[in-house]
Amino acid sequence: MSETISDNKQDVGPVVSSAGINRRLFILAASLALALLVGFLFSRYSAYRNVQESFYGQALVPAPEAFDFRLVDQDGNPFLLSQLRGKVVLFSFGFTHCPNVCPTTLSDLAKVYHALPEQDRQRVRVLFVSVDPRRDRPDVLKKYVPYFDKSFIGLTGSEPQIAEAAKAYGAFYEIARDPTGGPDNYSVNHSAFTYLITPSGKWKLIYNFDQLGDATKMVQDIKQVLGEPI
Amino acid sequence: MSDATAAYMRITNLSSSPLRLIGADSPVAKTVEPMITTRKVHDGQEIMGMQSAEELLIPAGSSLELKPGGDHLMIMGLRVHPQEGDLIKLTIRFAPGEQRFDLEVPVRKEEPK
Repeated sequence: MSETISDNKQDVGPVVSSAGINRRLFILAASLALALLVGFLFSRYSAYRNVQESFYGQALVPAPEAFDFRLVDQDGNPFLLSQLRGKVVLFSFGFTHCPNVCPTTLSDLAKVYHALPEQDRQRVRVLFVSVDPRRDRPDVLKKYVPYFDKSFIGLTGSEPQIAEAAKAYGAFYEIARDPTGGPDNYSVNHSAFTYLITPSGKWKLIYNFDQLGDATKMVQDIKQVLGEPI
Repeated sequence: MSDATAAYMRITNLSSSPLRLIGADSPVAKTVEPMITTRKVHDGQEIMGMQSAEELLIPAGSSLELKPGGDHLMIMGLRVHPQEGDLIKLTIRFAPGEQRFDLEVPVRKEEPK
């Protein structure tokens, strides 16, 4: 577009003294500028619409920096979310004594993971963050989380560490105690969202529990995020 | 591995009177209890939890759906860790009366398509 303008200027250079041509040149320049502006606005609008519409998950616009939680992995080693920079990270909060929602979440995520082509799987990690550190020690998680896929990583930590991570992602949990039960006999009510972190460490998408069952749409989102420039 | 898991199924009451699922037993676990999944809203977001249910009603001629993320039979205190493809014996108890129904449920890692 800018080339067109300079070409025109060169062409009409010798007759610039004519008021009529000057006026036409001005109208031409003005319409070009307007066309550029409209084009620019339209492209921004399309980009905006893309963000709004092309993800299956709920998109955070603009995507905030993902809180870099510091936890303990299933082997007992310190774990920082930022260790997985360069990969798409999907994670949810839960607890291993959860018989229904958490295994369904992990089994849905395993289905999604297995539906990805091999080269994409290498750039995707699934984490499960326990909100029950009292019972979910690393060795407990080690027996539970990789069961769904050997690449899945279980995380735990101190109560404040977990509370901090949950708060950063707006997750909620509370111990639900059965008055007749013993000290280790309790359930944990919790929000059941899955969060998607981009390879550049942005928290981009949220999925609710019911969305995870559609592996095809989940895979489309992941592929789209993997295809974006870092 | 967790010592708890869940059983899912659809139970259809073909009789002309209501049935109540009041409990279940399995030789592989200490207890099996009917559970309902609760969804409540806290600060604008949905919190999922579960509650032990005394009974699950199956009206005459209709079905009770026990499915992942919904109501289920919670199997607690597993004595063995079943492997995918194993069959687990389950006895479901219904009221009125002392109706028992024996079945074998296959163990799965993922929900069948």
